[in-house]
Formats: sequence, C-alpha cells, structure tokens
Amino acid sequence: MIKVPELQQVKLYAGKLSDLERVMEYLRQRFNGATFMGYKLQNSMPVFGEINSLSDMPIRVSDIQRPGYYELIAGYRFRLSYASPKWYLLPPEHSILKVSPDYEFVDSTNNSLANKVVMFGIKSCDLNAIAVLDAILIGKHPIYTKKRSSVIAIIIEECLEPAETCFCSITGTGPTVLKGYDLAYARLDEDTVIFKAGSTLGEEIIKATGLREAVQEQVKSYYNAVERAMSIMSTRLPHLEEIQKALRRNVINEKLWKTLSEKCTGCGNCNYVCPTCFCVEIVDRVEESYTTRTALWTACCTYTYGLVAGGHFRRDLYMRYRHFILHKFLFYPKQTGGLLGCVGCGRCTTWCPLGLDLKETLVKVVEEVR
Amino acid sequence: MTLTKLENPFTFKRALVVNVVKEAPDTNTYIIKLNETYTANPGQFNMIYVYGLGEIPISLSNLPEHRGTYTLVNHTIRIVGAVTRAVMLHVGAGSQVGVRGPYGNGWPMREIEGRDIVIVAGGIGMAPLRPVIKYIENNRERYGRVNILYGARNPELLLYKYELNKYTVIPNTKLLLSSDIPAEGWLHYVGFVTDLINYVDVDLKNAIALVCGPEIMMKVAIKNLLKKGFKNEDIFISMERRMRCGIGVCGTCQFGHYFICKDGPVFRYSDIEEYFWVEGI
Amino acid sequence: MIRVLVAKLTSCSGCLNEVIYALTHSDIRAKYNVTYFTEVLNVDKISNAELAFIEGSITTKHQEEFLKNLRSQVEFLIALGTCALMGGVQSLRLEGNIEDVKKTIYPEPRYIDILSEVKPVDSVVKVDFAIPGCPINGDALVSFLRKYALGGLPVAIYETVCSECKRKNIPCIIVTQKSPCLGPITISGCGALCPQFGRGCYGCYGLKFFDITREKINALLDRLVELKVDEGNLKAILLAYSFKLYSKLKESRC
Ligand SMILES: Cc1cc2nc3c(=O)[nH]c(=O)nc-3n(C[C@H](O)[C@H](O)[C@H](O)COP(=O)(O)OP(=O)(O)OC[C@H]3O[C@@H](n4cnc5c(N)ncnc54)[C@H](O)[C@@H]3O)c2cc1C
Ligand code: SF4
Ligand code: SF4
Ligand code: SF4
Ligand code: SF4
Ligand code: SF4
Ligand code: FES
Repeated sequence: MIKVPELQQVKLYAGKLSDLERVMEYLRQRFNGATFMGYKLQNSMPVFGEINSLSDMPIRVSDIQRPGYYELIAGYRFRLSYASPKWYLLPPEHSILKVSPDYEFVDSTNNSLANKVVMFGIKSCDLNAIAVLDAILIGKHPIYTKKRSSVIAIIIEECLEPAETCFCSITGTGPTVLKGYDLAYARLDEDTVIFKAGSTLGEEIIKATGLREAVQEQVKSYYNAVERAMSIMSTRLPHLEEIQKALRRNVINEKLWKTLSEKCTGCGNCNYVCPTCFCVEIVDRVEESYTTRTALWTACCTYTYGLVAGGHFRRDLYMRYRHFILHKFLFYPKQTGGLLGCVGCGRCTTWCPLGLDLKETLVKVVEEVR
Repeated sequence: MTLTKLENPFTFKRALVVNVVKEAPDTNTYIIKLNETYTANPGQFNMIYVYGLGEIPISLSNLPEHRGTYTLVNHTIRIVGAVTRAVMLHVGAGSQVGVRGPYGNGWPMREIEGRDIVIVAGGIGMAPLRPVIKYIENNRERYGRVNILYGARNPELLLYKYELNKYTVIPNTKLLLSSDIPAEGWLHYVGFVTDLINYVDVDLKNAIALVCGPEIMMKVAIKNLLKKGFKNEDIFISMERRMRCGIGVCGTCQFGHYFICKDGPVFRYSDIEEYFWVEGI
Repeated sequence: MIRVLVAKLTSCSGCLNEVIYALTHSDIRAKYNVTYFTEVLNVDKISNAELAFIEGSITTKHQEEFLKNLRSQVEFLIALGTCALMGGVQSLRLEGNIEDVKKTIYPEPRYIDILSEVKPVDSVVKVDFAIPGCPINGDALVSFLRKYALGGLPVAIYETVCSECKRKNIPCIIVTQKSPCLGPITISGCGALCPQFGRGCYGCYGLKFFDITREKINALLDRLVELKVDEGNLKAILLAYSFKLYSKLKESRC
C-alpha cells in the first residue's frame, strides 16, 4: 500500500485547467507529430482513443459506477471508461502475419502504426496495468512490443475520489502514482489542478509551462484528499495478504467456486474490460489469395478456454471463473516477477452485465477461511 | 528500447514433407525437410502451420537428422480436429508446411544421466518419448537400465510398430506392451499400460520415470509410480493444454501459474503437485 | 470440384440467400459444383455428393424421410441456421394445440399434414458441422467453404455475442442504458449486429448450448426483468430461436 509520507517527497505545482491545456500544447510541439491517446468522449460515452484537445476528454463529467451499472453525470470526477490503454497496446483484433498459399509472407510488417504516442490523462490503475502487460508481453509479442515502444510520454490523472467499484489502494496501484510516469496531475476542484513531475521530461514541462509551486493550503488539501480516497477504498476489502492466503487455501474448494460463479454466464466481459487480461485466440482469415493470421481477444471465462480436440481441460464454468480470480491474485505475481494481475480498477464489476462483484467474491473467499 | 526491432516471432520456416509413414488408422508420421541445421531436445515441440487453417503444437517424434545443408525432422500426427484433419487429408510427400520452433523445455536428458529410466507412454504419448529412446540408444553408456512401458486402446493404435521390437535389442532395455482390450494375436499384456508399472525392473533408489499420455492415464501412472516407491521429484510428465502461440503470449495454455508452452511441456511432478489433482486448474 | 447439395426444410430461405452470396466469390465457384439447389437449379433429383447444406427444421413426416435420404447421399452434412439447429421461429406454435394452430391460419386445416413437434435437423440425422444464425453470417459460410477446400475446418470458438461486442468496442448497453440484451447467453457469429446499433441482442443466433444451466438463465432473466422487460416477450424469443435448449431448460422462470 502506498503511504502518504512517501508521496510527500515530491514537489507539487498548482494551476488551472487552462494550464493542463498548455501542457498538452507543449507536448504537441515538443513531440511533433505525436498521437495523443487517452480516455475520450465519443457519442457521449467514454472510450479509449486518440485525443486532439482537452475538450475531447471527459473533463466535465463524473462517472457513477456500480456492479453492472455505469452512468455519466455533469461533474469533474471522471474515473474510467470500460476501455483501457490495452485497447491501443493490444487491440481486440490484430494481424500477426499474412501468408500466401505458397507459405510466403505477405508484408508482415505493419507500417500503419503510429510511431510516437503520448498517453494523456490515464489513471494510476491503468499505468500499473501497462506494467503488468509489459512483464508478460514485451519483447515477445510483436504488436504489443511495437506499440508499447511507441509510447514516448505518460501523463497521469490521479483520482482524488474513487468510484464505488475502485479498490486500487488495496492492490497498491493507486490512486496516486510514485513512478513510471512523466507528469501527473490531480483535479483538486473543478478548475484547480495540482501537478507533479515524475521524470526529467515532467520537470521540463513544468518549467516550460511556468507552473507555480502549490501553496501550503493546496498541498494540504491534496494530501487530505488522497488520504481520504485511500481510506474509503481500504474499507472495501480485507488486506491483500489475507485475500491471497484465503485464495490459496480455497483453490480446491470446488463447492465454493460453484457458488461464487452461480450467476456467471461465461460471457467474458470481465476479461475483455480488464486492463491486464492479455489472452488471445489466433485464427486464420482466409481471402482469395492470402490469409491473415489474426489474434482475437479471448477470455478465460468463455467456453473456448481450455478446449482441446476431443476434450476440455476446464469444462465447467466454475473452473474458468476460478482461473480468472486465481490468475489475477495468485498466478500473475509468479508470472511477472511479483506484480499483481489485478490493479483494482473495478471494471470487471461495473461491466459485468449480470453485476457480479469481484470484491464480493473476494470477501466471500476470505469469509470461508474465517 | 531497441525492442521495436523485435523480429516477428510468428514467422515460420517453410518446410517440405518428404515422406509419410502410416502408423495407425488415424495417425501418420511426417518426415519434414528443413533447409537449415536444426537442433532440438527430446520432448520439445514445433508449431506446425497449415495454410489458411492454423497452427498446432506437435512434438518432435525423432531426433533431428542432420544431412549436410538440411535437417530431417519427424512429426507423428493424429487426426482429431480442424487442422489435423487437413494434415491427414491434404498433406503428403511434396506438400509444404510452416514450422516454427523448437519450443518448450523437453525431457531433462542431462539431469537423468546415470539413472535407471522408466518410460510410460499411452497412445500418441509415445511420440515425444521416442526421441528419448533414440537419444539413450546413441548415448547408451550415460544411462542405467531402461524399461519402456507402452500401451494403446488396441494393438492397431500402437505407433512405430515396425521398430518397437528393435528397442529390446538396445542393451539393458526392457519393453512391456499393453492393449486395453484383448485382440487376436496379441501376446502381450491386456489391460492399462499403467498396470505394467508393477512389473518394472529397475533400481528404485536410482530410478526416474518419464510419463506422457492422456491426462487420466498420467494420473493413474503417477499414483502407481508413487505406490511403487518413486519419489515426487523423480517423476517427469509432459503436459497438454490448448495452445495457440507456443511462446508465452496468448495465455491459453496456462496450468496454474505455469505456461505449458514455455515452462513445460515437461514438468517435474513435485513442481506441479499442488495443481495436478485440482480438476480444471 | 467438390460436389454440393443445397436443400431446405421448413424455413424462410434467408440462409440460402447467404449460400448464394457465398457462391458469388469466384474462388469458391472454382472449387465447388452445386448439383442440387431447388431454389436456383432446375434439378429435382438428389445425387451423390460430398457435401450437403441443409436449412430449416423438420415439421412433416415427408421432410424427415427426405433428410434421411439426403444424409445417405453425402459424406459431410452442414446444418445452416437457427431453424436447422434449434427449431426456429416455427417453434412458436409449440405452445398451442396443433389443431388450433392450423385453424387460425388455414381455412381447411384437415389438408395440413404436419407433425405436432418441430425437430431440429440433428434430432434425425448426424450433423458434421453447424453454422448458426438467423440468417447465418454469409462470411462465416465463405470462411467455411475456403477452409473445407483446403482440407480443414474453421477452428471452433465457443463464445457469446458479448465477445464480439467488446472486440467491436461497443459499451455494454445493459450497463450503460439499462436496455435488455440477450448477448451473454447467445452464440456469437453475428458480429454483435444489434448492440452496434444500440439495440439489445434478441438471441437470433440461438442460446449457447455450453455453460448454460437453469440458474444462469434465470440470473440473466432476473436481471432483464429488473430492467423492465416483459417476461412473455422473453419467453417467446427463447421459444422462437432456441426451442431445442429452451425445452430442456423449461423449468426456468419463464
Ligand atoms: C506440447 C504438445 C505436444 C503435442 N504433440 C503431439 C504430437 O506429437 N502428435 C499429435 O498428434 N498431437 C500432439 N499434440 C496434440 C495436438 O497439438 C492437438 O491434437 C492438435 O492441436 C489438435 O488440432 P486440431 O486443429 O486438429 O483440433 P481442434 O480441436 O480443431 O483444435 C483447434 C486448435 O486448438 C488447439 N488445440 C486443440 N487441441 C489441442 C491439444 N490437445 N493440445 C494443444 N492445443 C490444442 C490447437 O491450437 C488447434 O489448432 C501435442 C500437444 C501439445 C500441447
Ligand atoms: S462478465 Fe460477469 S457474467 Fe460475464 S463472464 Fe465475467 S463474471 Fe461471468
Ligand atoms: S480483475 Fe477487475 S478490478 Fe482487477 S484489474 Fe481486472 S478489471 Fe480491474
Ligand atoms: S487467463 Fe483469464 S484472467 Fe488471465 S489474462 Fe487470460 S483472460 Fe485474463
Ligand atoms: S482504481 Fe484508483 S486510479 Fe483507478 S480509477 Fe479508481 S480510484 Fe482512480
Ligand atoms: S451489449 Fe449485450 S452483447 Fe454487448 S456486452 Fe452488453 S450484454 Fe453483451
Ligand atoms: S501457447 Fe500461448 S501462452 Fe502458451
């Protein structure tokens, strides 16, 4: 868990929304031709994609999130869209190879990829999710590696008020950032923005845009807000160690998993919206004179997962739902050198059409042990 | 990051099928020519690509044979589904396929030097174990006694029937065959191959076991081996899961926290014991 | 050339239109020779062939015989569409008494010789491959034909409309609009056509036959009823598009 004192080493700067606009402007000039990516409003729904100006971003809305429920209202506390940076880094469908009937490769390089990308306004949970994807995919998955390498700057928007479904302080992935970013900002109120630098680029931006150091009162209310956000979330779940211990003990508790997944339909929404899920199927799309080997997002909650010729290694849905949970909390750390697979963003819960609540599942597993 | 220069790991080598050997009604061995010096450990696998249809993980079923500028590799393939169907129907001598690999760890040939070896194979599970036998034959002095236990549902389904008998000529090697059901002219054991574990003739204090076959056969094999006195850390099994990439990025081959494609397919039983008996993990 | 028969039972010919669409691809025409297709060819005798496509469900004795004969003439039979696989819209009549049903439509019901049940194709003959949909997705058929010509088959993927919906970057309409959607229990293949236009999936590709239990159906139906969907409509939809499974799960709430 991030401790507030650790944060206090960083110098804070204060400005207005218009300064945020200037930050974007500065970056545009600094990285001429770069594409800016972030949460943006499209047909009044937040998605993840290219942003051209601050007005594309959900800066004048707040999201209300509950299990199976999402709504936007006027405000300035936007948390998350269902889509995460994964939509750019590991798109839902991507070609991995084009082959001719003679087994020759048809231009297997994808030149249409942007070569400079600035991630702008992404949340701490999503930043941590990128680190998880890096640990699994970078240097191995050609598309991910290429896209990830195109990211030249990361600007974070910190949350000072979590959504009802968030629990990043439990997973140690937010709401504030400590490392892995260039510049972070948080919206103290509708117009006041607090900035902090996370790299020399961040310092350069602050200097170039002439941001002033935050005054005592602003610093205080920023830390208060962070502390409040963390304490709200910390009541939502037991400690991580306790969760993990309970999961370990209950791996073989078939009955429990059957109960927990009773209402799950295996639709896979939780996996698709999860910013760290990376599973793909690979299919051939055959055209008249060539075939495209295409990777498609798949989900461990769907029936395809574990299916093999003449059998099924995860036939019952409870086994797959269990894998989803165990993967996030027990297996990822072993696969990534210690990173948890869950960054506490709550998307799986908000976007489950049945409203299954991950937090509730975890609490029940812990209760089973108690 | 220099990673932008990452070569596309999904590109494959073009390879020519030079011969096809019929093994069983639903199984053929394909001898494939790769225009390079290709090496692989026993127990490793290749991803075999059939145009327009997809890739399948297939074990090398023999040691790669180096012939000057090219290498011959064997793949024994059983027809079961979408892609293997096409291999059976459309791939013959003169056909092309795509090959990428070798992948996976393979059997611990180094570590088991000096030990007595029990090989337990069920059905198509013999394919990844055949190179082990060849490897031991070539390096006979490095290994102790060898017992090969091999069974299939019926005698017709046994692979490599044309050479099984030759295994008995390898010094200090015993071959025990089984058929699940009685069959005309079958003089070997009738019953499950795992029953044969009772009859192994090795120094149990110094023996290791290599097991490959359908998962339920491997479960029984492990029970019987443990009963016989084998230690957890002396049993190795080759695991199977759906596999789409072979290189640890598609996520579909997970088994507990392991990726079968890159952490396996061969596992020491003691390393996977916690998962092995949990159904569907 | 691969010889192909195309036949229909009780159905609307919508899937057959997709067969015609598939045949507009020259590479497919170059590999397949259609020798029986009453909607298109002037041939009414069935002869030996490698493949047969069958649309529609069985509602008469005659159709059952026809289908058995067809099966015996071919090596590989593909069932096309929701009617052939799940019963189809004609299953709606199963709720009523067959004689009453006849009466409401035909002035002289006694001439109508139909079974009291509606039978999916696989309840009478072996089906080697199924392409779901109402109508089927023509591109899925094109893909099948190309892969079959290569000796293989499409790799089976068992998922629901939600998978396609998410891959198409559509925000879930249950979650954002409180609109009812049967996506979570409906077989994929349409490309999330309805959610793409902001409308709920009404299950025309049929209920998924894997992972479904009464509890799960009920859980989704409860959720939809919570969103103020008429239970009668839900029932009609499930009957029409998924009669085969729905009848098995009958004890579910609606
Ligand atoms: C490490 C390893 C070594 C293997 N070695 C051999 C061998 O030497 N000989 C042999 O005949 N078979 C072997 N298999 C099994 C073989 O890979 C499958 O039978 C084959 O993938 C089935 O493909 P399909 O397209 O015909 O079947 P479908 O059921 O139509 O499969 C669709 C896809 O799912 C995946 N898949 C399906 N079944 C399996 C499976 N059992 N294992 C992994 N992926 C699967 C494949 O990617 C396949 O293309 C091996 C499997 C593994 C994991
Ligand atoms: S989104 Fe909900 S119903 Fe769908 S698979 Fe996940 S938990 Fe199950
Ligand atoms: S498991 Fe759920 S809460 Fe955790 S990272 Fe994934 S979507 Fe977010
Ligand atoms: S196995 Fe499941 S939880 Fe894990 S990455 Fe894949 S889809 Fe996500
Ligand atoms: S999980 Fe944390 S960082 Fe992510 S949106 Fe919620 S509060 Fe913000
Ligand atoms: S809109 Fe319908 S199909 Fe799409 S994710 Fe939601 S429930 Fe599934
Ligand atoms: S086969 Fe893709 S991760 Fe192992």
